[in-house]
Amino acid sequence: MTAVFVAVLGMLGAATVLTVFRLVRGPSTLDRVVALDVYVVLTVVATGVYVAYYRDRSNVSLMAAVALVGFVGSVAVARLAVRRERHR
Amino acid sequence: MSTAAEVGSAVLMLLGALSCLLGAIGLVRLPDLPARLQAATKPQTLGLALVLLGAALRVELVTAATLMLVVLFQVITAPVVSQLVGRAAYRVGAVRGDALVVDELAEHLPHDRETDPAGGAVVDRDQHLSSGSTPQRSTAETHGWDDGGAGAGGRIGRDGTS
Repeated sequence: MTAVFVAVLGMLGAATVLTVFRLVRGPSTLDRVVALDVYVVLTVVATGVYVAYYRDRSNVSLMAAVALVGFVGSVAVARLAVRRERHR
Repeated sequence: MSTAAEVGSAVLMLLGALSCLLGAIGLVRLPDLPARLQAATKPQTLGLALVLLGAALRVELVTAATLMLVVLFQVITAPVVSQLVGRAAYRVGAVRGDALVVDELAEHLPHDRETDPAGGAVVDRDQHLSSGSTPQRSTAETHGWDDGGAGAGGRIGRDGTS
């Protein structure tokens, strides 16, 4: 079972590296918004792996909070990005 | 029962992590913003649902219900973020017009732009309220809508890299 968790965390780590690459490289602000949203989802997924491995429920509310903050942040940045591009 | 739950949990979590990885690969490899948006929302939501379902098989019932609540929340909010970012991308001209097969929004937008000068009052109020930046902004918008966003995309690219 530990090998399964190592494989899962390896794939999630590779996905995080690729997402951070897009976050740093992304040509426009909206690309970075998308990459940051994916990064937040990957954080929630990795916390879910923690919950499954240790059978520890103390981080489940953290997952809900992080998902909520990520949603609000993506919506706010998307709206502000289109406003800033318009005023140029 | 316990062994079956463990095996099912392992399979679900592996599939979910694979889906997350494929979504991240698509996020890096795909060429433009709507394609990246497609790769960012759907495989990520599927991966989140599968991994949390696999985690829910290993914990007790209350925690599993909370995990499913997180999945439900993500399923609700991911299309909202996707639609808002896609709308913003179309507004600032980051969507290439020649890459689209059907562009139903463009059929409606020039109609609105034609009726705005005909109305007169809307344009006057707009120029009156925003004093200095109106010609520049309208030029940018016309540029963004008409040539399919190539010039506007270059403008965003310069902004992003600087």
